[in-house]
Amino acid sequence: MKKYLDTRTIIFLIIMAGMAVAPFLTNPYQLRILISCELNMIFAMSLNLLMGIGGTVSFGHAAFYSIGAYTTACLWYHFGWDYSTNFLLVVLITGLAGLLLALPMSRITGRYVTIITLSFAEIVNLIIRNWDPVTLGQMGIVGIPNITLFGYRFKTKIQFFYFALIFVFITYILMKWLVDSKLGRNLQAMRDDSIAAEAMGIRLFPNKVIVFTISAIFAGIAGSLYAHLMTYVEPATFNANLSFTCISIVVVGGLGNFTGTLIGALFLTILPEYLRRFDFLFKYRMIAYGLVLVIVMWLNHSIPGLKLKQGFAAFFRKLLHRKAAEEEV
Amino acid sequence: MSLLEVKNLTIRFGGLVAVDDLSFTMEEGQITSLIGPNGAGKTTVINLLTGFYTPNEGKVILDGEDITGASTDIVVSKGLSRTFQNIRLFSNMTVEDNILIGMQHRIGYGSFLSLFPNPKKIEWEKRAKEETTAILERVDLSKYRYEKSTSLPYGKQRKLEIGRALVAKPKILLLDEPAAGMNPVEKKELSLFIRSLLKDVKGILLIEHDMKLVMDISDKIVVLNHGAKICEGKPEEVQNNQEVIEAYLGRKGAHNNAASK
Amino acid sequence: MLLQILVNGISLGSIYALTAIGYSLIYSILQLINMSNAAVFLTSAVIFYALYTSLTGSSILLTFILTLMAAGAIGYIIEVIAIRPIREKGDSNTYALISSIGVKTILEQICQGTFGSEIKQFPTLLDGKYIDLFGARTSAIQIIIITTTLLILGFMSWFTQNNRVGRGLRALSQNLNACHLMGMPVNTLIGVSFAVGSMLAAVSGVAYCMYLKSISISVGSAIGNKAFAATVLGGIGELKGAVVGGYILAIAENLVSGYWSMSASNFISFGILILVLIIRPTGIFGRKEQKKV
Repeated sequence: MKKYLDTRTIIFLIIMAGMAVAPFLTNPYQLRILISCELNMIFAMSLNLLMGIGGTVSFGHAAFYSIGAYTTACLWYHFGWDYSTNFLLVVLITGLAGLLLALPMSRITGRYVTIITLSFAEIVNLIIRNWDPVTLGQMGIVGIPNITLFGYRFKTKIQFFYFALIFVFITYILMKWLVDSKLGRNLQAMRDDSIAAEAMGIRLFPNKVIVFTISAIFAGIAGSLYAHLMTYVEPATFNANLSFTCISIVVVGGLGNFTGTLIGALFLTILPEYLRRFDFLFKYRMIAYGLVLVIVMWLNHSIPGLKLKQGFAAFFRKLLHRKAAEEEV
Repeated sequence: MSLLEVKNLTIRFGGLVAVDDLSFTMEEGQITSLIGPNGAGKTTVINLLTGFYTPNEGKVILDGEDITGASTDIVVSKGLSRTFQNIRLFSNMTVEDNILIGMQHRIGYGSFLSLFPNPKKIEWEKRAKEETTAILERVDLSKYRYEKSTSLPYGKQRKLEIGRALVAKPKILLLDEPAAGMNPVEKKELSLFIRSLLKDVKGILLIEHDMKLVMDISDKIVVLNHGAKICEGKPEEVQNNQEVIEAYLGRKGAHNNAASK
Repeated sequence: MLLQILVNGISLGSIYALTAIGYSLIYSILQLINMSNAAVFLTSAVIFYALYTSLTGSSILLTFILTLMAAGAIGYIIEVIAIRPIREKGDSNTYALISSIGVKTILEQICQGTFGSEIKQFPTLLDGKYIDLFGARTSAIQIIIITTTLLILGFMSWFTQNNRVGRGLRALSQNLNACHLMGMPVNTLIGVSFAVGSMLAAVSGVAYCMYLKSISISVGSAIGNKAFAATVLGGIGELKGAVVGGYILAIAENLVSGYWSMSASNFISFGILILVLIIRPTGIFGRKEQKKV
């Protein structure tokens, strides 16, 4: 039977509760890492919508993140605007960017999606690098203040933390609503079998455009928060590795599994920071992402019939199975 | 007026004429079968009717409405729904969700209202769930409702696919080789089931290889060979048509067949 | 001026083409975009640098041969560790693609960790020697790069046309399963093609650094992305497409930077790419995918 409170929701609530009390238990440095976790959660959930539900792997998702970050940074730099107004423009501009990227999707499938998304990210980065009057080029924009909301400036990182936490919560709930709706089902149908979906009367192209747009907007929101967290933005941050990091988080958490994405974001944001303690390992900390990708892909394939919804769950199941098998012997 | 009227339908792929000047009609309350040897162009006809291909020439008229060259979503909303030769279920979705996809074009809220709870969405979702319950009852899959579609046994997957097409409330149901891969007992059961579907839809267009099944349940048979119609009529008429026998057995085979009788 | 631009364009194009063939070769067999190729480009240059400065000293040829062997081995190992397990279970190519991204990250990080992030001087051949080619100043290393590339291209086309292995590779790109059933050593052949692709990337990487006379950690992604764009432009999976795409991109870039501006030249390759993808998504030589209902 289908339950109203399934395991995933329970885990989600536990994570949220844990995050809510976290500021009382952490020092400023740890709090900052947790804020990074929150941003990665929003960012990766937006990609998971596209990959896990929409079935389109975007290898250039950092583009939207950077557009979001730069939109709010530029608006602050040139006009000194409030985050409340910036936010609307972030939504608008990243939404349009998502729409733009979705347009060629009417003509292409499969491998070309990879290529188009990669090139899109590359072009966005080149524009940011070279559009000096607006983005200040290679230098980047520095000195971005903490978020101001309707004239109220956030004083502490704790306020920022809760503000971001609200976004994580909203993003998760929205994704959940979306997945359990007509739109979400249609997207999943297209992911599983686009021809059968077409035969059922689903128009593929509008749905592709919608999912790209929504996904881009949430990535953009995460990016805009990032600009205020770091207080500076520079083009070098938003390279292909950022997109790949995001893919790693989604893949670890399991495609189409938003609770998993939250866990993945916690794991993959905290792990490299933890490795900072070891001087030797620190140099190689990013290898963790690469290893995670290879290992998860390795384990995934071995659970038949579960091709799309694996990740952590599958990983532990596999471990358990191995244990069980050893005991039998 | 016929339920479905196909007039001079032709499609060419490069130099190959896959369907050649095909005309036939379907009447209300009947099962019409499309048969022919491998490569005769049967599936192409279905793809033409459902909007996957656009014909080079000819017309398709469904219940008085011209649907020639319409896109798949229009065709579905006008009342043509299909199944596939090699089962095409949404493999990572539950049985319930598969059915819900079948009726998606009748669910009356759009993408924007999908994003948050609102009275319209809640109302439609409730109705959709009720209809799903009814249709699962109809195809006898109620107890599998929350199972993953691909975890069902083969025969049940076929039924789910038919249920998915049925829930679209089509006027005409197009079944593309529903008996493929079934044993005689299952086929027997299937033929009864297909016959019973006439309570739900106005007409059924059946593509099938299994001659016994076709002869048993069809009201009318259209025989294709090399994309062109070679014969049309009641089962017994078709069975004795010399050209049909030749198409299936070859000229020599047909001769031997006649001799052995 | 124009002739000078063409000479420079063709030299750079040779470098793109060699890496692009690596992408195309793997794609034609597995329909997999092997993202680790760009990292192999970088890794080989770093290996060459490390060997040259620490072990082999002055012999560029010996260093080069050792680097090639290492690159081949890396390619083979990547296939065995990161691609084969996924491939053998018949999982979708997206998984193998993500796995190859993982490999790319790992290799790049190892390079960064060991090499550091500064720019260092790279050994080159016949430094300061030029030939005047109808007014175009052509350096010795440019001539070496172009001739080497032409030799390799000639060899590759002979290799994929006539040779037993070449025939095997072509059969693989037609139908992998059938080859398996026919008892062909599919795994070995795929491993070998990964090794060959990596060795081409290695030649390209070393040549590029010799051309620049310097090496830094960013060369891999810069050229890797361009080579990838070239592959797509020519039609991914087509060897001749990769070559033509490489030359077109490099010449276009040099034309733009010569007559217009440096920064615009960065846009041009991706601009061309987007244009081609919109007008002719399959690239110049690519074949159309058939939609099967």
